[in-house]
Amino acid sequence: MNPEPWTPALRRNVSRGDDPDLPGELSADVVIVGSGAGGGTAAEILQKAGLQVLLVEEGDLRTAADFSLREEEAYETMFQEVAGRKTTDTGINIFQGKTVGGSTTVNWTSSFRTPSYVLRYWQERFGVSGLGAEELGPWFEAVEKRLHIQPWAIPPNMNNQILLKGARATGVSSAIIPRNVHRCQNLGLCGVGCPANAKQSMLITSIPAAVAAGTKMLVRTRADSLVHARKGIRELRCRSVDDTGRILRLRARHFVVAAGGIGSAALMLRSGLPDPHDRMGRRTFLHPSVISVADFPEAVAGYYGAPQSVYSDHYMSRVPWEKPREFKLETVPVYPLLYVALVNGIGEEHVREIRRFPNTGLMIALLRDGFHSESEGGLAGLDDEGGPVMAYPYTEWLQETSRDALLAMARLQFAAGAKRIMPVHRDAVFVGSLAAAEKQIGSLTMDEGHNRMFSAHVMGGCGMGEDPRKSVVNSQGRHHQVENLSVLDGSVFPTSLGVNPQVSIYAVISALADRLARDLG
Amino acid sequence: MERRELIRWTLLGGALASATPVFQACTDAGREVEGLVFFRSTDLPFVESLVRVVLQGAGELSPSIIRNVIRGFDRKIMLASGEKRADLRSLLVLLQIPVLRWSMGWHGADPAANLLTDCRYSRLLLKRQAYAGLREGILTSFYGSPAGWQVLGYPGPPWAQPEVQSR
Repeated sequence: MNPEPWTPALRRNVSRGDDPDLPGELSADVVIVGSGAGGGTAAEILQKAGLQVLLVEEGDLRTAADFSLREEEAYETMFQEVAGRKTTDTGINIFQGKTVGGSTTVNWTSSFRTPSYVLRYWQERFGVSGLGAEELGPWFEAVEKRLHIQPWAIPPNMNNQILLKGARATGVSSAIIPRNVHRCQNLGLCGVGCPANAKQSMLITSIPAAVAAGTKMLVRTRADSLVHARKGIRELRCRSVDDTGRILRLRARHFVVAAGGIGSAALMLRSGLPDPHDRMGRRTFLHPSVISVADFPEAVAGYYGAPQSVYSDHYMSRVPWEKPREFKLETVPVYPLLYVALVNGIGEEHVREIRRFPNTGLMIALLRDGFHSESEGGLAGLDDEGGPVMAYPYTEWLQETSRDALLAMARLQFAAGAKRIMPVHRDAVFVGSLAAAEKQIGSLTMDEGHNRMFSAHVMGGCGMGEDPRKSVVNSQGRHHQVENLSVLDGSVFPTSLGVNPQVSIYAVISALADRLARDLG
Repeated sequence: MERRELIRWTLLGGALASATPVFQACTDAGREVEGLVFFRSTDLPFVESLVRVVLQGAGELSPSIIRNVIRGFDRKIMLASGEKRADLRSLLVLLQIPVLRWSMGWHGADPAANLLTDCRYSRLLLKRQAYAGLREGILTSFYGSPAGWQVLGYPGPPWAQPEVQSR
């Protein structure tokens, strides 16, 4: 395996929020909330620019030696709400990391650049400046080099070959996914934490680099509120997740919110920060996704091997604002717990189907939201206890694009040799022919009480732009109304992307953090 | 309409729990159980019956397997949102009261199976959510274990952690 960067010396710069020796007040040049793709990237750049960074993370520092490789433990220790976070009407299940490295520690490694037409749309529609394909080019190159991002060179596992085969048989375009791995052993356990330190997540790259350069980190520490005074944010109040009753007060010249989609908006709403145009939490995007299960005569063993290595953009255009009903096709690793939850029913009825587990292939369609008046995204907010929640309307667009996507996947799966398929939907059953699948999918009720959707890509909610009436932060990620506050994570995206978001976050936040470092010089 | 149902149920559970002494007694009923944080002793007969129905057909459910599933469910509900915890507590309070238990579908030869079927096919979103929540909590507390893997034919993770790691 690759070396473990978290040496005992480095760990001395990491404290738990309930550490009794921790002073009640701490200060730094910059306090960053969240250690995911955005916070990790920003921490390294700001620290290396000579600013003292204090990084606050709600999750724990769990490293390769801690990864039990069991889903149950991974979901309980490294995911928000045990990987069971749901939109308010429970129509969409959201997977978000809660650990040092955030979702980058537990994602499936797919690494795409932001499509240039998306960046152009941000510029034209939201007035975003300085983040065009040309300006971001060097940042993308740096990220790709640093994180060893390359199209996957090893033959895809069977689960991904199904997508490849089905696409070829039906004249649908497909391609190999670039992955951020180094000396990958093709185990397939990316989603529960890479035990070989092959995945180039924030956990083993930017964060240890920042800490080695002097960043201090607080883990198991939840950000309660940013205290706003006349001249900006005065302090961040936080407390241990193992609630000791003690409030920690973190002071800094500048504060960076990087708590991820939903979390960043929720923190600022909880803090009562100025929001004169009621923008906070609006336009939160999910790439809401539907899944199709397929049963093959031969073993698929979709639990082993790189989880995602083939994709299809056949159903995506370069003008998403003109064609809203679009989706990207990828695969889902066939992990036991993910799978048993997808199959309907309980008891004997459930057991009969799940015994087909080794022969199962899973395909996913990610709907591209945010480019059209029919898909304005959801609303991140707070529950009665001040916790983060997310509402996402089940519009006609969502329902009918789900149907299109389920049909497309059924066609590919049968073309690849499936003997039965089942759209993941509360009322669906396995059917043995494409005609039967088309009939079933055509007649399913697709509302929030029936369809089952998923998301692992929360974006937006604190969108950027130059017009304060339409955005939360400017093109540098600086809050429009609060002087010493930036948002530096995927929540600044004005739309979704149509690609898995990690590389977009790394590159965009690198550019913004670099600018911030110079501003704070 | 459906949001109102959710509020109504929560209010029902909340009102029962706080306003009336007999229902208050139900909320507080039971003692703490070693190894559990959320579930109390009076919850366990109901939860155990639900576990047996959800996992029926998944091989022999020994007392230790049932205990581990309930412990897993207990850990997960403590890590879930406050709203989910409140909803489950409301449901468990309702189950303590015979007339309300009956109205939830807890009757017949196999009351737990009946309740789950009733909730699964209910017209009320809230009841369908209760079914989904119970199902998910129980399935994910069993099929992550080697006993569950055996049912699936999952050979287990393809990696053994080195015994000694430099830390």
